[in-house]
Amino acid sequence: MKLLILCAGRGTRLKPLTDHVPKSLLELDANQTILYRLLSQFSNFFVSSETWVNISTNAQFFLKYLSEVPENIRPNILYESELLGSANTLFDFTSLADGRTLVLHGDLVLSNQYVKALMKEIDGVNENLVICHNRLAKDARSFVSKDDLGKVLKFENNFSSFDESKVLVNSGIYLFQDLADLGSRPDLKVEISDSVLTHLFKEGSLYAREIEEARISVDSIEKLEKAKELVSKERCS
Amino acid sequence: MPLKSLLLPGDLRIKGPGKRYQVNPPAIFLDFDGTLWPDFGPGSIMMNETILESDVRLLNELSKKGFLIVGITNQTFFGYQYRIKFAQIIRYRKRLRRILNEFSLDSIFLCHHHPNSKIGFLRKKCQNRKPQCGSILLAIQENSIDISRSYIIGDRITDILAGKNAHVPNRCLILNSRNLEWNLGIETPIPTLIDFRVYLNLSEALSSIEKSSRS
Repeated sequence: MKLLILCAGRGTRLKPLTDHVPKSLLELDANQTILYRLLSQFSNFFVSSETWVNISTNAQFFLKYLSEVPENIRPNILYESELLGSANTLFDFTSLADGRTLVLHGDLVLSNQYVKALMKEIDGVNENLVICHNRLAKDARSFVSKDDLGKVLKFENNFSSFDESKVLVNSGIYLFQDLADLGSRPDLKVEISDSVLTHLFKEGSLYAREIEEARISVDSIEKLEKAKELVSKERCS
Repeated sequence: MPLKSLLLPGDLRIKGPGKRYQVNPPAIFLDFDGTLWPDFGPGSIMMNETILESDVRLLNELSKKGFLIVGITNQTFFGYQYRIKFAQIIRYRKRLRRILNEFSLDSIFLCHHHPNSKIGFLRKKCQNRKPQCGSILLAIQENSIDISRSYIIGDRITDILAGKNAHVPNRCLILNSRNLEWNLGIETPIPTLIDFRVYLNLSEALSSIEKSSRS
């Protein structure tokens, strides 16, 4: 199985912090950045030659940073000189790697418990998965519903609601069984959720799994602070 | 044909001592400026560069292990001047011989072309000029190289792209004294992904290859 971490985005929602540092290279504490944490957490499950980091915007910062990361967790680099969009990145990645691939967004800060639960959840699974978690409907940007076997029955990307109830949302983590079966290549700048997941859902081959351990997608300065707290708590315990 | 073009052809190949290799050997394709020595701009190849003994030792070891070591370099500095002196060409060719021996290289493929060269016979869009891969393909064909076990090492995305174009699967980008925008510099944006591994310097890249060859 291969691991692909998507770090090519511009990080616009975190400006001005991301003016000179890519989002995934923001520090969580003195010892680690968001990316470093992901690389070390997953190094127990993936060898570095099977790990890939996709970069584009501010690639020079990643090169410098990754050249200094210990070789045992240093990933392969997937460089795009112009932003392709994560769906196209995935399509191009198919020419480099086949078979099962776990895809993560590079702005995720996962608790150690989350990583353990995730690896247990995907172990031996033969389906394409979107990993989900519960969220208040009014705060949700996506919506997933599944049957008892986990098959996705409804998948919406641009979801909006004023409802106070909880709904299942896309956690930004996907498992693909065969990258050769992702549907037709989308236009540039299209995201995985808008293209590949929608295709797999329509084909009836998308399944969802729920993980409720601590997970933060760092898309605001407030979330970055929460992520720092999570890391600090884990360190203390 | 200008007389000087005989001594300084647009594309030049210099062969080494002809060591004995296994059938279908793997190869390491090596860039020169910014990889074997610091890149000070056009003509770095002629300067008294600092050669790291560890690099020389590792290249030697890898050569003994059966890797064909092939230099692949764009050398366009002649094209920055309007006239070339014979003495300059002679000095250059002597220098290439020294490099060949010093770094255990089996051969060197040089492309002197540039689309904007000031020297007429060197002005050309050449298939051997990286990121094009003509030289690499020629080296593969001539030596029956096993491409699946081969590596390319360079300090610019153009080196990596040349490796990708030639289907060299293991591509190593090393960072150098120049700024990182230089490492990433390319004449035209690439409409796809390029994959490679990044290393601090040549020694680290060679050590990593050496380790992989042991396993």
